[in-house]
Amino acid sequence: MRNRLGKHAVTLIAGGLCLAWLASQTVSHPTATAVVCLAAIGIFSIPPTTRRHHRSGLIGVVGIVAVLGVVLVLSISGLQGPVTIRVFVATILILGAGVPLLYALTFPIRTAGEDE
Amino acid sequence: MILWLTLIACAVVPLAWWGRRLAQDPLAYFAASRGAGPFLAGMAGTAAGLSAFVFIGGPGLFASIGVASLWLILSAPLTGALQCLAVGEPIVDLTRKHHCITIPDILAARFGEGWPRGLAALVICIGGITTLGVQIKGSTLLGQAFLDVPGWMVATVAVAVTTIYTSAGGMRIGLHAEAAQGVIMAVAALVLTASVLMAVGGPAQAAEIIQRVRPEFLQALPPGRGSHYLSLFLLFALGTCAQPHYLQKFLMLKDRRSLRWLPAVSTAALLSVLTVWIGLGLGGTALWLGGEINPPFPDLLTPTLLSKFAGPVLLPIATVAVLAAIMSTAASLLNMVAAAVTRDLPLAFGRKPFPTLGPARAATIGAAACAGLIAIQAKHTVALLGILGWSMFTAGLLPVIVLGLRWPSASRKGAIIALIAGPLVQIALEISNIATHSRGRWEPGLTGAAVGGILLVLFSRKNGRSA
Repeated sequence: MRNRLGKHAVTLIAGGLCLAWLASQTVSHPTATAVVCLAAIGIFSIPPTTRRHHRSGLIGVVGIVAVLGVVLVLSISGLQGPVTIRVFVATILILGAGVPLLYALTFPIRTAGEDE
Repeated sequence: MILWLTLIACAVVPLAWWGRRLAQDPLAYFAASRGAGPFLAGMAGTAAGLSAFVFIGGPGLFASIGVASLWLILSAPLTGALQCLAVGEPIVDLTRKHHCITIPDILAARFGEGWPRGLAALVICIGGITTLGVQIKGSTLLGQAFLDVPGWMVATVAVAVTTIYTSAGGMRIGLHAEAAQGVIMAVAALVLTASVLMAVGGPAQAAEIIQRVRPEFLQALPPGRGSHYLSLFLLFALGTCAQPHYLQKFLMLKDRRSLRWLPAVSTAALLSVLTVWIGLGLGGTALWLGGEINPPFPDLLTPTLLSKFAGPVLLPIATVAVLAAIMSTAASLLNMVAAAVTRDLPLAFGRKPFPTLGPARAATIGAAACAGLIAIQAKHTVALLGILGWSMFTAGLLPVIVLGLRWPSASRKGAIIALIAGPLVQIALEISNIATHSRGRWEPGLTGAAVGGILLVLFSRKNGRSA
């Protein structure tokens, strides 16, 4: 996991994230929980995606976290009614198409020279 | 329906015979001879991960709490890629280097023999048998209200058939069976969803009915419970990285390149099957609120829907799909529990694993019997039992798998402490929830994983790398 963030930085951030998670549950605040959710998904995705100093993976992950962020903000803001189902289904379809494709496209970049 | 059950029971005999011929060594029995490509692993992984929880518990949960139940599946598009990225790649690397065939093998390769292997095996035994109990309870509900035969009969046939072919052929036959079951589930889910939504007049009509009768069912985050539902979103997003019946499929890949298209296969299959959650949940809830059906309790929404709207063609499709869902999950879990009991626990105590596959086959049967007892005793709904098993794996394995495999400085001591603390915190919270008859603000699985993660980082920083 050697990358720009340093050898240990990401794991220490992950440890901090665990603390933040416990804090968000203590105050039981949806916004705090939503921030931890986004950070957790980002922190587990960004380091391996950006291996070999390639930016395309990072841009993709930022895009995914942004889509999720919009859904979370809308939900916390009181999203309700039939539009809720449309928002959820659209999110699932957009990410369902985009995320696996991003993984497949960045796979050769991340694993160049490692395959058998 | 008894004819269908008899046919399924008869089909297992040649399957078991074929499996027994193919599975002659631990690599074949526990890791399918490492011959899976992306399609086989992706379909089998999805089938193993999806169960009665999706077909029965999911729509039932929608009927209980409305659209907020979708937080549990909103992470579905992410999980395939996240799994491969965060844990699949390091697992495949360790497997190539150390010839691992079980998840505790991976932890032993990373953190050394003894405690890490033994604790991981224990988590797999407890979480695996609990999750198996969900499958069996799902089978009984299915039989009682959906197939018009006694619940115990369906449960007995489904579990006996799965136990026979898994016991005989392990994952060498289980992988192919699961992949076929995954295809059946995906196709059947799409057909069922379309049928129910057509019966209610389309998704827009269903949403209008719900909005008119129970508008609170269409709130994205019900007041006062927002943090809880977001916790469930995170539990299912990250939790997949710690579910051994998913991770097991990485051990079966024939090469690293197979990872590339694995998320595309597994995500397509997953989203196809999850249409049941949205379609039957939305359509069924609208029909319930509109007074067209009247299930006695939410878990019976799917069976009630199908008994009313499924014709002579659709009913067998639904039967086979739900049985496939139950059997595929059960097969993986039975195999992993057998591996934990006959291979990993002896190795953890410094002994050699059993040289033949006989004890593994016996352990497979024993695990099924234990899960049956849990299903008989369980008073929770299918959905809650499903979350219980999922939480145990998350609390126990998430820190050591996600942080431990990637972080070079994660130490043996930190891993052992995380493996002990996570499940203890989770079990304590589950007991507290049961005692107070409520789901508290602390989601047990994630809280256990968070405590485990903090301890892993703290003790690894303090002691340095020892593995």
